[in-house]
Amino acid sequence: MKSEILRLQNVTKVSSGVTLLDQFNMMVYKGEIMGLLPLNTHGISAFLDVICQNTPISSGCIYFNEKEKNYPGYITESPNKVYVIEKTSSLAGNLTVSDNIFVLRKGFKKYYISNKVLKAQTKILAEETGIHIDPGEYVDRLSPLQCCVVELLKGMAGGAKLFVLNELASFLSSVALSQFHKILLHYKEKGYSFIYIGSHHEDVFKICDRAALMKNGRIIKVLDKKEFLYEKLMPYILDYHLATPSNFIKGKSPLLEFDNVTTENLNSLSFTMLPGECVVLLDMNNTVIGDILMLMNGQKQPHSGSIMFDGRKFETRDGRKALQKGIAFIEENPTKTMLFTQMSYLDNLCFLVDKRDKGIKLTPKIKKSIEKEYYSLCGPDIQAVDITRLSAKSLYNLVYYRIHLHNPKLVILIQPFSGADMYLRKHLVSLIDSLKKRGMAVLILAVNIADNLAVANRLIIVQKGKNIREYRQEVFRSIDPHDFLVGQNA
Amino acid sequence: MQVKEKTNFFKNIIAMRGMGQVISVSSALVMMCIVFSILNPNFFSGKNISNLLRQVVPILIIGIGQSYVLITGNIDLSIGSIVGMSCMISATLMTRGVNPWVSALIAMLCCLGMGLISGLLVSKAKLPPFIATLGTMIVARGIAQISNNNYNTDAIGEGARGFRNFFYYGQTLGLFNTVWIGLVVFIFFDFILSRTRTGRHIYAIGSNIEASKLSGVNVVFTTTIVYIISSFCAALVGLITTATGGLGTMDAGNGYELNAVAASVIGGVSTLGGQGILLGTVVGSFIWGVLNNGLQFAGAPVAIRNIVIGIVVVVAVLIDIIARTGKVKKAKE
Repeated sequence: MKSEILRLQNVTKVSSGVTLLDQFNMMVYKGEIMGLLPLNTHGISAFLDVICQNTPISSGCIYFNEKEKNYPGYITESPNKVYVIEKTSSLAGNLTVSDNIFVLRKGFKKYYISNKVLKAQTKILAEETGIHIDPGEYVDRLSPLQCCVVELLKGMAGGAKLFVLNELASFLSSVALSQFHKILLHYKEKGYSFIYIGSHHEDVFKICDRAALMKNGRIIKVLDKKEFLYEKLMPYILDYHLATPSNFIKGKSPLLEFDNVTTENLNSLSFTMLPGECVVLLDMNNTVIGDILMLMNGQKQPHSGSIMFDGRKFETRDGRKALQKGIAFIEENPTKTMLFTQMSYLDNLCFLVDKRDKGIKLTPKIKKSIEKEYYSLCGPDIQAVDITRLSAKSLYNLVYYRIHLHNPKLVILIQPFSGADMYLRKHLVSLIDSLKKRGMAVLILAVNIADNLAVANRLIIVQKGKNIREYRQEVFRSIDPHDFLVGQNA
Repeated sequence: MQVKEKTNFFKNIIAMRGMGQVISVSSALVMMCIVFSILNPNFFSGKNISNLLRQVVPILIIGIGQSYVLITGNIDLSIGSIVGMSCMISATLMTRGVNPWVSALIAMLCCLGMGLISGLLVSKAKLPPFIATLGTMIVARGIAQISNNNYNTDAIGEGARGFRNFFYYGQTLGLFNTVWIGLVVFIFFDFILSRTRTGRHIYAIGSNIEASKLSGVNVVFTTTIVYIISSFCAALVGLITTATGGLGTMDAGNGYELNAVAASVIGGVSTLGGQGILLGTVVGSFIWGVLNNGLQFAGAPVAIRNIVIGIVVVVAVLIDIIARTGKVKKAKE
């Protein structure tokens, strides 16, 4: 009989009157990869808090390593040996790999540090993963995959037996994710346990032994490996894939044209985009997004090749000029990075108005007129003074309607679905669709394919900086997104 | 085999983060020395070198303290005032007949107390370090002034000869004791920073404070210790100042905090935290000292010296930021 590492039994956690976890039941065995598919983000943070830190719960009981560790009224002395690997790294970039693994952890007793000994120990650990990592390298020089491996080794060196892998697909490229999966399987065999949190079933089904569906802080269904079928999920998830019709203007001259563009990471990259077209550029190695972004906002110039935009050679060294030429950007997690929390909704909405090529002066009269026009889209939110009180959906609306108002020719989106739950992702599909309906071309830069096909007219696979394959919307149905997630088609 | 080991040793030294800047700044130092020796052949005279070393040591010691603080991503503006406080408390006690060593000990403890307060304000009360140490800077200067009722002290007298010899006038193995003190302070604190767990924790806090907390680093304790170390260094310089002048002056250490920042950043300690080595601070202090001394020898007025040193500091920080952002971009690429 398998022994368990974690069990949450009817756990309810209420905080400030909000039920974060509702009769939550989950069991993870030793040497198992348990998938967790949250249909919305409600309760995820609370779940991580209770299993890692043993924060107080309202009812139920938590067992860790077959010992009762948390129940109402009981406060444990120490956190559980659980290590979370997520986008926000727990590593110190200015310290070496060996320092991060051994020195920067709880319970490291030695005061005098022998670099030689630490490096030798790190080398042994790293060799087991099959990924080349120099023990003396500074962590901020490592790739995302190497960082994940270092985190894994750090957790192991610290005695962790259970790892929570939170949305790996949002920051690891398809190729890197595939390599990391192999490492997980290796350590699974050695008895380590994992909770693999992923927004997409394609990602979770690939690696997990069982998977639990979570909604509103409650586990609503647990699937065994043999039940890993889309049909089993259908009653619980929203189907919005391939819903967008192709509406770009075929036969027109290209709006954006990359012709053999080479930079540090781009290797003679060529592709074109038509006005109103939505192209997804899938970066298999997670290396080209930064370069394309810097090329388009003027921070970088190509070593060779050329970029044509709207019939002219695109040359700018200033991000503001790119905006004036009709190129707008929406960053990853834009509600956190692109909004000004001290400004009202309306001020945020109007932020780009006077930055057009022939910019208009933003007078109170114009603002009033904008408010009137956008009330039908934004609703009463448009009158909000404090945007921090608004829901994620409203904030995403604000980001996208600001682009509507600016009305650029091309919008570049970086990982638009990152960090969004299923309901928000469905809403994002309609927001991106609304950009296309307004005639804007949309270029999506992504490291995984999930959800992007729902809005794309064309998919371009980029590997090692080169356009290796293109798919038109008509053949999307024949594509198995699985293959992109693990990089087998690359 | 031996050749390979030697190659690896040098490779490791050069690969050490911050060593690149130390090498480039050292080259600049050598060039400056050559230029000043051409402008005035007496620049390399034994007497001038000896004086130069004694001038540099106080800046080196407070530079070491400031480097510790900067590496954690903070700053200590109270260093100069603590130098003044240490100088005034020790000198006042000595003029009132207290044993010089006891006076020095009391002054040191008072200064460490100020460091403790600064550290707790920054780490525990979460005050911005600029504001917290601005406060302790003013308080420490006030204490320096109030120590002898708003007057500089009289001469500390013959009874403090041993004290003065130990900190300034005496020589050991042909070198002034001040230089030996600087050397011991450097070796000790360099060992702590580069070879111990505390040192790694200091770098970790400056690099990623949240990750440090999650990794079991006691951020409050380590940050407080760093401020105490900074105050220790400032207090030591205060004692050297007392020994040098033979009396306590209320404005002792005025502007030293910025000299300390200058020595650190010229030597490659990053104002953004997490980066820098004390060898760089040594070179940075020498750059400061050689510029001061060389320009003085060349007959440049104080104002010109200040302008030149100011420009060097700004350029050094600019290079640091360009190099750092460039490196990060390159690493990500």
